[in-house]
Amino acid sequence: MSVAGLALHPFTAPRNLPEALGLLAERAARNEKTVLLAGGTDWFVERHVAPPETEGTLPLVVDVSRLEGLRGVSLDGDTLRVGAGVTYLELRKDPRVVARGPLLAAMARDVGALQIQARGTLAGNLASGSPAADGVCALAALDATLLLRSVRGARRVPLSGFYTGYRKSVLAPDELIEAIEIALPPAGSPFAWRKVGTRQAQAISKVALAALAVVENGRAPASASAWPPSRRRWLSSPRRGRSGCRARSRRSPPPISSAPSSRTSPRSTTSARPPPTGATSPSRSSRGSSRGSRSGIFPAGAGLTPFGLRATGRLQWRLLRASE
Amino acid sequence: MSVTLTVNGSLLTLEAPPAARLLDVLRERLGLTGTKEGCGEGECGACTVLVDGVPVNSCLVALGQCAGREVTTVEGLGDAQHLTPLQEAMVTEGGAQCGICTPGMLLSAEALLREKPAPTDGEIREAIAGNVCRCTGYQRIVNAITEGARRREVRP
Repeated sequence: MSVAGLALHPFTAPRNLPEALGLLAERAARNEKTVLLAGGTDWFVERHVAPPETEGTLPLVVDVSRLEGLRGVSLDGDTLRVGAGVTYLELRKDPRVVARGPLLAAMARDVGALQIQARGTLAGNLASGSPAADGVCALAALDATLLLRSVRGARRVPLSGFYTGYRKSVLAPDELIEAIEIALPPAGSPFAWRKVGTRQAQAISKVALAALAVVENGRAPASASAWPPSRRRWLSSPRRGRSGCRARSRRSPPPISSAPSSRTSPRSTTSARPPPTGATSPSRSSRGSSRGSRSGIFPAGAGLTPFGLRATGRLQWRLLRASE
Repeated sequence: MSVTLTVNGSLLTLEAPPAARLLDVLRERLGLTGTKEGCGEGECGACTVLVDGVPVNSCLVALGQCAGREVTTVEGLGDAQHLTPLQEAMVTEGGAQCGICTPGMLLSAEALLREKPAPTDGEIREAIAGNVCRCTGYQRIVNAITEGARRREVRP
């Protein structure tokens, strides 16, 4: 345990975003390590289990949790912008998110417990790059775009192009995530959010599923497919673990596909088990102790029933929008 | 480096490393040992304190992140001679056994009752979902919070 070493870390809280970016650029140029600290819900845990550090190699801790330039949720037409410093608690309480991005609100409610929601951020979830990240799963279904900024300027990267490997991304050493941008589907679009863990609160997801559908011409959506599709570069072993996802539409033609691909965490020791016949819920198809919570507006007649999924390990799923 | 913050109503300026955990500063520098360390990883909620009225795990917050903020620990609720109605209810309803989770439970419940003076069982259970108790089975804690809410209405 090396929490005692925490006190040795140099720490600074820049007053504004340009100051933070300048600091990042200087340190990146000198090849010095910097930790951008927001909610700390990953970093402090890593320090808790890490071997003791020696003073010479300690990174500078830069507190970005209160930077004005990273704060706030805004809605501009159909584009929702979530600042990198916005916490899950702020997200789930924001009336615009509840009304126009209910999938995000449902996801935020399932992250950790209130104490974690009060500190953790979506951008932190993205930056730490855990395969079990609930926020990333929901953002994938929403086709989110990340706004990255450095002293060199800003660039937009689609989430599908952000990760390059396990906990690796295209984020440069002098860059930070400034905001997450989401082109919202029409209000009232059917969605589903399902997380399965050993208990409802605090559990690291075994499986999380985010689904979104866009209704066109009064018809329910026609297709769905599993996340991550095999074209994803960051899928290291697409054939490890067999898993499937099935979606059913009552008013329209059957779904197109369920790609048999999965992503398993190295910390997961289980391999896929065959599903019980006729299982309709992941919590029933995995062993009895799993608890999950389910939210969404996929009532009878709305179209998709995205269950019947079976998987073990930590997998994430995405249902592609029918229009794609 | 010094950090200025308010702890239980007192404005303090501490000469302390800002990257240190709030939990360690509270317990070791300020002697506020009511805040417990359980897991040290944000799983158990024993170290829950309020920062600007919001429950957080003090094992996951750097002291420097609390500069200019108001921190409330269990010592800021009431003392043995002057228990708050919520603390009283925790005693009379048998909501505490070994007591390790109790300070965190009280602060999560306090934050809930400030926002929702008459919470439902479901709201209480969600509010304390991040606080693990290995003794009571939770029902008596839920009863205690319900009773605490009732007593607060009579004597806030």
